[in-house]
Amino acid sequence: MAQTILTIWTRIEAVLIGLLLIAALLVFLGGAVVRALAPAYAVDWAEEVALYGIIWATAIAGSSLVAEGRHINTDIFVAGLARRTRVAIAWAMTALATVFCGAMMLYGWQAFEFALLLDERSASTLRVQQGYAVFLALPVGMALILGRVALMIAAGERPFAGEALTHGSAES
Amino acid sequence: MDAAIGLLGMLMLMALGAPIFVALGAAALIMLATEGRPLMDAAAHSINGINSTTFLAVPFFVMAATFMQKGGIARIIIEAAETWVGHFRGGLGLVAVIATTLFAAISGSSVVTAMAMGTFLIPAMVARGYDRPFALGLVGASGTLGILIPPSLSMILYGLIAEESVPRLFLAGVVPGLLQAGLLGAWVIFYSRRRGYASGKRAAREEFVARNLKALPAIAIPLSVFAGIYSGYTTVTESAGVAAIAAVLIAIFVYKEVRPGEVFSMATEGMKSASAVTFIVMFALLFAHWITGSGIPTALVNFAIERELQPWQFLLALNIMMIILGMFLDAVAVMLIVTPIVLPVLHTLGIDPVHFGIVLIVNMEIAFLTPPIGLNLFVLSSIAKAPMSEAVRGMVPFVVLMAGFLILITYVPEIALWLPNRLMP
Repeated sequence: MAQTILTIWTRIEAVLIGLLLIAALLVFLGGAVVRALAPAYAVDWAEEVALYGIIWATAIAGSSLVAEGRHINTDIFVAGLARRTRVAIAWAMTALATVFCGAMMLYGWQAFEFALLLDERSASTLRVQQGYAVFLALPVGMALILGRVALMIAAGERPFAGEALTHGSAES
Repeated sequence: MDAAIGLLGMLMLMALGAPIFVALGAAALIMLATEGRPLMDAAAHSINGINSTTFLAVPFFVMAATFMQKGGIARIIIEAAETWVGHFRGGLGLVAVIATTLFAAISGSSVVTAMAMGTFLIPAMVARGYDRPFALGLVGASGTLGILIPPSLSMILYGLIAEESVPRLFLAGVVPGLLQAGLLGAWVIFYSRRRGYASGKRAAREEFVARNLKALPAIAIPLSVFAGIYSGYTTVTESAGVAAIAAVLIAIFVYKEVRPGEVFSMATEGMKSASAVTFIVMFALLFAHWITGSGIPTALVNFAIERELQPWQFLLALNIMMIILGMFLDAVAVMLIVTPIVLPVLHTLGIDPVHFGIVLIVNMEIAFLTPPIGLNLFVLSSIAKAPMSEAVRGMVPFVVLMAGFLILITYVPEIALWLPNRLMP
């Protein structure tokens, strides 16, 4: 059951991440092209909207990275320890990561509420509420990670297994 | 004292295998809590840190690199470089240096460059009688050019955290990048003569023209990025967006190595790769926020003033520290940890932050080559199915060469600063 939910979850996230990236790219470049070719029709919000897309894509991708074990870590110091010690440390780090994400969700939500209270808005003509466009991405991203962690544990997997540097990481 | 505990705690969490973003974020959060600073601000600071137009360039460049890597660009560039220098003694080694330099200008990433180039070059070099440790070392060291030759993701991240001009940083990477390529080329010539490696066949005129014409669209991408940025016509982020779209179109319609149906999944993959780095950046910014208020930078400035520290002494100490850290930590993490701590001292000692950025990048290059966790070592030993010990043995002369190069870049700032000072005074 948990495995089925994880599979569907992963697909939905992948679609959202791809759509947000492509939409951000098109809106950003569209805005630049219009500004260069037809300045009379230029909009002042293209960059801003593209940035919101990328911020949300990043927040959503955090959970996929947990599932795929692609959050970068260093395992070199623990690799030489006895298996039981290694497993214990790995679970301790998973617990720490989970508590940290929980804390960031909580404080991120407070930051979101505070931004709404102050009615922080963007400088463009869209006057977008920064609370919804930017600050909400953090607690939502962290909540997705926590949901994923719960399901992975239910499915018998260890979350935050990590893309250890000794196995190579293509991101650097 | 508290600040030292925070710093050591963060390093210990990393050593114990915590995800790097968690180690940075948790250490900062705990220290901010003990100092009684509001944690809601910490959360706001993390997410707001990536709310910058410059940051948009990161996923766009990663997307471009993803399509370039899978779009057959590596093979096409190698074939073109072979027509230029393949007929010299040790020609395939020179091809490796030139092709990697060109690919570096496209990918912006060290590991991607080593991976893409190593897949083709290492088997080809071994088949032509080059010894495998040399091939591994050469491709590994050339691969590090990915972060020095602009456009470079590491430079964008440094620009974000140090609040320095990314176009100036890009320009500062050009001469050192070419110099490093020249040094590697010189070593290839020397080593090939000593080992008596054979020369290749000179390409026929038709072949020369055909291969170079085929490589033109790939080479046009970094050229258009530079032309756009330095003509003032596009910003760094716009250039990254153009590069991403151009990479997709070239991979599909020119080289036909990517099917239109694959675009979505490849874009998603690129975004995930960018996000792995962004998570680290987000919480490194939080860590930097704590560091700035912790008194560490001020203490370091006071130390530098009291001891009448000279810039060369400070840079020497930093280089030694960064090489040691780079052996055990992710290179991006080292950059993100060190920068906020030392920035105020740079200003005090009159060291140009752009010059320091390049010194930092060369340190990161060495980190990619040094055990126990040099990423290029792992990537290449896995591609070549060679034991790690062989990859390490092959890297030794190149690490020595890179250490000499680091000294040169550190103590002759003009190498990095000449071009940006001339073009963007």
